[in-house]
Formats: sequence, structure tokens, C-alpha cells
Amino acid sequence: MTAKSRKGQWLHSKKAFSIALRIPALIVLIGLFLIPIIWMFNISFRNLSFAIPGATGQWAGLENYREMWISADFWYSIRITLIFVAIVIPSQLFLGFVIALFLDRVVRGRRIFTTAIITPMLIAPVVVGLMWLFMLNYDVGIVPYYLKMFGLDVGNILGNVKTAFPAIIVIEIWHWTPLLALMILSGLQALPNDPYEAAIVDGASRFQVFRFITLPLLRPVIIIAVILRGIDVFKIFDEIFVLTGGGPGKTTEVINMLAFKINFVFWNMGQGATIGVAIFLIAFIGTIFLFLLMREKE
Amino acid sequence: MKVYISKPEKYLTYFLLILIAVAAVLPYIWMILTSIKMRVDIFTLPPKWVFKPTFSHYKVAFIEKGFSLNLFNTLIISVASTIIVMLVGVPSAYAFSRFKLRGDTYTFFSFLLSRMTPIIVVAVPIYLLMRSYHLLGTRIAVILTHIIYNLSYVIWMMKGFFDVVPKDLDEAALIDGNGFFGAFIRVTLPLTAPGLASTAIFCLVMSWNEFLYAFIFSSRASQTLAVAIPALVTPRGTFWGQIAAVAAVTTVPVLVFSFIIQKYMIKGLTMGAVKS
Repeated sequence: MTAKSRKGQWLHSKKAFSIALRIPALIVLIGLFLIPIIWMFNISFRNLSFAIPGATGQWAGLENYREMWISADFWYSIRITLIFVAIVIPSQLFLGFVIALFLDRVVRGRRIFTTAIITPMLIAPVVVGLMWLFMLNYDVGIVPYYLKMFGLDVGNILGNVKTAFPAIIVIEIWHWTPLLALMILSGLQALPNDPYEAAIVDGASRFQVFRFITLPLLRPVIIIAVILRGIDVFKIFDEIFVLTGGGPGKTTEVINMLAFKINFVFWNMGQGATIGVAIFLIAFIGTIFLFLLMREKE
Repeated sequence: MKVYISKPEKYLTYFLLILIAVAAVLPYIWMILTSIKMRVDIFTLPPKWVFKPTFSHYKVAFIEKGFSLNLFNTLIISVASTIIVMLVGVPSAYAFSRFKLRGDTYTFFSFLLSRMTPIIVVAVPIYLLMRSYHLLGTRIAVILTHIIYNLSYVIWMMKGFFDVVPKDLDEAALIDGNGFFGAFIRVTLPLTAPGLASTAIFCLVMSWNEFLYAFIFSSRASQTLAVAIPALVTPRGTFWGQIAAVAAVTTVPVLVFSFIIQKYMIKGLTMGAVKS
């Protein structure tokens, strides 16, 4: 055996080698994710704040949880976050489906169209927020201007309690529908040919083919796409931070925005950690569903 | 799947696709146009689509207002965090692909969970951690957070790339006298070069665009572009021309890079749940 190859055998046992390979990633995962999560649970039982004198981390039992439970802001944020997800996901799914079906049936120019259509999801969320802030600006924005041309005077869209939330919904749909379209398109292109040939022989109508062949075959892709997107929409922060900061009033204060304000504006970390626990539990449940589905698919 | 469609239907499909593509791209084009407009043209209504271009906003933002420092920070942070996360994540992905261990299910789940948990949840504990090590406001703090931010992507994407390299090749390399390490470094790793490149580009883009970690953990001197641009929205007035100019510099490289790895974008963004 040459010296060179002996050097390559610094780990003789397969098991030792496979563990050594995993260690760096595990250290990062434990140090920067698992320990912070456990720590957050710990803080949620404590009285910790940089803004309140004397709140240096004394044990507070369930006090923070009690406060969260009776807080109207918390339940309001939970409610609008869920409404947000419940409106955005079906809209994106529908539009994504339409776009994917269109892209699937054209051959010439597909790559160019795809490249153009996915542009929104490649732009940094902060920039997306600023772009729309400019376009929706009451004085200089092109959106109010063109709407007015069609006889629709919407006023200050982001400053109005009635229009700010719908505007953010539209922006989120614009921003991330491309991803759903891509996911569904890749699902469509992986479909087997045989069922379609059989259906054509049987004289099925195009709608029947779609309803009874395409949709059922795409079911796994659609379910995974919906859960994955659902969790990501639930995570929205950057765009709202730039566009409204949660306002006007609290109308667009989604749960992440509320947690941000309590932690990094009011510096009430005990209370913030409690909301963090609530957010974490929702993400945890979503992840379990996603994980099980992904394993089933493999 | 082949679908036979009539000619009018084909034209209608193209027409609608053009409309959708325009709707997707137009806001971005409007911003790029704004970045090369003179101040008067930006604030003119009706909106001006044709005008005399100027690069003054770029000059003011990057030379007079110090956005070149933010550009530099963004470069350092995204490149450094990408290199480290690849060094940390790639061996692990190889191990997950080649040597199954009991407990892998839990590790996998934890990585997926770290991708799905909103940043704000872990921000406070990490903040306290950074504070006690006097790292707050440094580039190192932002780099560290971007490592955990990208780690699960690296593991998921790279495991997929390793899975398609035949195992026989590793075994042949072992028989040829390479150790396990040699088989990994000299045989399997080079075969996944395109995958390594796409994964690294993906991480670069994610770190480049990331806002919340960079916002919480940076200071004036270590801010990235994504964090610095919103500062141009001030109560006394908003410098839309400069915002557009900095935003253009922030987004154009990302668009170019993403174009290169377009095939792998969904694979990354969906954690391999949907194959492209």
C-alpha cells in the first residue's frame, strides 16, 4: 500500500467515517437552531426585557402565556395571518395551475416565457416591497394613476384600512405564484402518457381528461405544493415590514410582525418568546405533514 | 404529455402567456426605468415611458452615500457564508446519501424544521447568544446566521445529487486502494460538480436576498444591500431614484445567476419535494 492511499484511510471504519462527515452540520444545527429553540421555550417562562427595569429573567411561570391568551392583539394577528394564508394559497394554486397548463401546451418559446414569468420570485422580498411601495404611492405611483384613468379613485391604497390588506394579498400573489406554476409544470411534465392515450381511444372530452386523469395524477404534487407554500406564506415578513410596517393601525400586523415588534421594538423578550412558541408550534405541525408526505412519495 | 390543440386555441394561449409574462416583468422594468430617470421625470404624471436617461442616482448612491460599502458587505457575507455552509453541509449530504444510520429520520426532520421555522422565532435566543460573545453588529454574526439559514437547502439539494451517482463507483474506488475519504473526495465529489455549482449559487442568492437576520444582527458598518435600501425611505422624503438604482444593483446579479441555475431553482426552493 502506498503512502498516499494510507493517508486517505485516516478513518478505517465505515461507521466512524460516516459519523465524522455528519458532525459539522450537526454542530451548526444544534448550536444555531435546536439550542435557540430550547432557549426560547425557557425564556417564555421568564420575565425578560431590556425595556422594563428589573426584568432580568426571573422565573414567571405561565404568566407570559396567560398574557398572550388574553391579548386581543395576539388573536387578531393569528386571525389575519390565517385569513391571509386562506386567501393567498387557493388564488396562487388556481393561477399557478392556469399558467402551468399554458406553459405545458406551448413548445416554442417555453423557456423564454418561463424565464419571464419566474422573475418576481427571484427579486429580493425587500425590493419587491419597495417596488410596490413606489408603484402604489398616492402622489407619484403609476397604479393609482392608471386606476384613476379608468374612473377608480382608490386614494392612498396602503394608508387605508380597507385597501392595505387586499393590496398585500395581491402583491404576495404576484410575487410567489410563479413558484407554484413551476412546481405544477414539472408535475405535468412527469405524467405518464398511457392513461391519456387510453382516454383518447375511449373518446373522453378534454374536460373529462383533465378532471379524471390529470388532477388525480397530480394530487401528490399539489398537496406537497400547498403545504410547502402554506408554511412559507405563513412566514411572510419582509414585504409587510417595508410596505406597511403592520399598519395602518394594526390591520396588516401578521403574527411574525407582532413577534418582531414585541421583541425588537418593545424589547419584551419574555412575552415575545411566548409568541415565538405559538409560531413554532404551527410551523412544527406543518412540517410534520410535509415530512410524512415527502417520505410517502419516496 | 402531448395535447393536440387547434390553431386559434394556440394563438389564444400565446396571447395569454404574453399578458402573464408582461404582468410578471413590468413592475420590475418600471423600477429599472426609474433608476435611470432624472428627478423631474420620476415625479411626472402621466408616467413617462420615454425619457433622457441619466446615471446620477447610481453615482449619488454608490459614491456619495456609501452604498458601495453595503455592496461590499453583501459580497463578503454571501460568499463567506456560502463557502462555509458548503464545507459543512456537503459531507453531511454525502453521508446521508451513502451511509444510513439509525436516527437519520430525526436529523432529517430537524433540518426540514429549521427551513420551515420563521426566523423571528430563533432571532431572540441567537441575539442573546451573539451579545454574550460580543458579535452583535459584526459581519461574522450575519455570516453565522446565513449558514444555518442555508444549511438545510445544501443538505437536501446535495443529497439529491449524490443519490444519482451510482454507488458502484465508490466501491470501485475503495477496492482501488482509496480510503472512504479518498473515494468521496476524488471520485464522487468531482462527478457532482454541476450540482455543487448550482447549490452554491442557490445559497449565494438566498444569502444575498436575506433581510431579517441581516437586519437584526448587523450595524451601520456591516449592513447588506437588502437592509440598507429601506433606509432611503425617510419621513422627510423618499429618494425613489436612488432606491431604484440600489435595488437594480441588488437584483441584476441575482437574475443573471438564477438564469444559469433555472433548472435547479424549484429543486432548491421546494427542498427536492418536486423534481425539476
